[in-house]
Amino acid sequence: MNPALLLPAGLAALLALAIPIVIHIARRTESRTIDFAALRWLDPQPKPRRSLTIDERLLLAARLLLLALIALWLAAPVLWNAANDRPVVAIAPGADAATIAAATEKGDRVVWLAPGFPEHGALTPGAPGDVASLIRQLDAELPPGAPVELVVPGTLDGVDAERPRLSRRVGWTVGAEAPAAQVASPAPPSLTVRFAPEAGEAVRYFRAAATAWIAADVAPTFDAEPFDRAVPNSARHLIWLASGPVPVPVERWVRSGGVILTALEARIPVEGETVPVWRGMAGEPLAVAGRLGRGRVIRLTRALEPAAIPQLVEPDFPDALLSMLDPRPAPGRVAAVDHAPLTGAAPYDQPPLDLRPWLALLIAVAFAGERWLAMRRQRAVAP
Amino acid sequence: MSPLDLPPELRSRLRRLSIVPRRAAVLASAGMHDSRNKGGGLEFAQYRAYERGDDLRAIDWKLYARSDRFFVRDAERESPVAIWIVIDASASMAQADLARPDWSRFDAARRLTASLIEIALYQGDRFGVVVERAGGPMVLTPHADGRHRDRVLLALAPLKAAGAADWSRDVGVFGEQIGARDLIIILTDGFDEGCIGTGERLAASGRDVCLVQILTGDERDFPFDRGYRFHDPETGAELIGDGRSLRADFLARFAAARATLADRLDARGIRHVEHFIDESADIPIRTLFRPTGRQ
Repeated sequence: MNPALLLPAGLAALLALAIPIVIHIARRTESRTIDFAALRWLDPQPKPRRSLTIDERLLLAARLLLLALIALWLAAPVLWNAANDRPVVAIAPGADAATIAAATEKGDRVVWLAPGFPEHGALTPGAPGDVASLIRQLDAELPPGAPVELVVPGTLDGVDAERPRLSRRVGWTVGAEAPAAQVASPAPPSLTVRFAPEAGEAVRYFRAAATAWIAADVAPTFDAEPFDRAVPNSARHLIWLASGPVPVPVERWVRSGGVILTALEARIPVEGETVPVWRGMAGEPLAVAGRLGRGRVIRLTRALEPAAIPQLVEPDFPDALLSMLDPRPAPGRVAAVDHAPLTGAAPYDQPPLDLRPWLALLIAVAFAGERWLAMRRQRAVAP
Repeated sequence: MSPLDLPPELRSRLRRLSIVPRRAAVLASAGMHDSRNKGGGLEFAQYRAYERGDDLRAIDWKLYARSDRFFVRDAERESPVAIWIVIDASASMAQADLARPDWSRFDAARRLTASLIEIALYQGDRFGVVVERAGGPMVLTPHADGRHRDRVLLALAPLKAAGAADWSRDVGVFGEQIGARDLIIILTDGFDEGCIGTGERLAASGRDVCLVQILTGDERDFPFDRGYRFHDPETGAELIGDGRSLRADFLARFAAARATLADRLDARGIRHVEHFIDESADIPIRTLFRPTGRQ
């Protein structure tokens, strides 16, 4: 533990120590007259009186202490390497009880691998967060010497494509395989199409795609109307085939979380950058996607006709449309034994322990003491 | 607390004290303790009606039994010795301690006067008071009853010590008023040469003179710990100095001056005692009238 000052120039405030000293130097010397009848026995030529006398030394000491503490506070004192090196056991939510019990019986500090790293004794965190990111954060927040033991379930969800690379060697305890949750495959989106009369030709491509997404004997949920009809609030995916600016209600619907695919002639604002989401045979972008509020905007960059976009009549158009409208998440599930962290990352500098809150407490105590000394009843009048 | 109201514990201590003239001859004569020795030795003068303030012991209880009225036996003869209390009321007597600014040397003198009167009343002696002021002496001629005590205390209550008393001017008044065999108790600070000289002249004329030098606690301890402007109330002289540097020198000089005064009074046969105003009033009386063998 090395004490240090982050702002040594703050110690210049120590110059203020001169103020109470000046106040307390007794200046009132011969001001008080008293009757003294035995005057004739006083030495008529007294020796020069002592040049410097200080009144109320206790109060002066309290004031000097207060000012020195304030100057120290301004200098921002810190304590390097003040974090403790206690071994840490971090438990990922979902690890089975037997493994947790085996890992936590050594009396180390036990935390949940969850945002904020709550103590294990506290209530169980809800959904498991981004495990890889939390592991990196734990590694960065602990001092380099502290041993870390990680307890994870047999299968990890939501991991990165790379094994986490940490600054230290950590224990990696893999618990039993948790029963895999049954994930239902998502239903295909139901399309809503609004078209201008001159674009009525293009509606059939989308009806064909919607029909291709579902089984052969089921009628597709496909809502195609002229562009002056309102969009129902339950709709999630809208195909807009009209020129000119998109009406304000539709734009508001997009901002509240809808996904819109617009034809080339339509105009709709986009926030931030756009990225190509559909490419032609030569890699040229056919559609770009951007954000608007909480929704997504997909803009076609060509006219909606097979002459401009040959893919419209290709058999993989329904799949391309589905991945544009409803992109699938990247794979993130891995067996925990294969995802043990690597070492070799540069160790992180630990932030120093800020002593200012404790110093503020001391200042408050010193101030209270100074006030008490200055305001007690038996005190002299000045200063 | 008024200096004329004696606290009960002081009153009880005063009960055990007495004012004793120096000359044994006076002690031997009848009448000194007449109030205690009522009996065959006293000449009966008259009965008179009881009045408020009369000593209850003076009531004739047999006559009360016969007449159902209170009567007091009046004695013919008075004690041959009167006790004169001479109070210095010059401005130097108004000095008070730093620690207790409301209790001056003059207050201590008045309390001492009230205590002496209490003892004299108890002994049955006559007592008179002379207050030596700048404008001339105030004389209260001696009597020996409670009403006289009340008169004296009433006269003393509004007095203030101020100005410089001219003792040599008033020494004739003392000679006229004070009998040749009377006991004189002078209450003063002893800083005034005229006061000491008057005491010496009275002693030289054969009177029994005692002197209580009333000093403040500041003069004994000199507790001044910083710079002051010292002011002499009688001469108006001033001196600026730091208390700490003056202290040792003052204490040595003042002790020498007190010793010189004591030698001078001893040489004249004047009994004397020092009384500090933060002490109880019975201490100087006990010291002053202590039996000579135990001194």
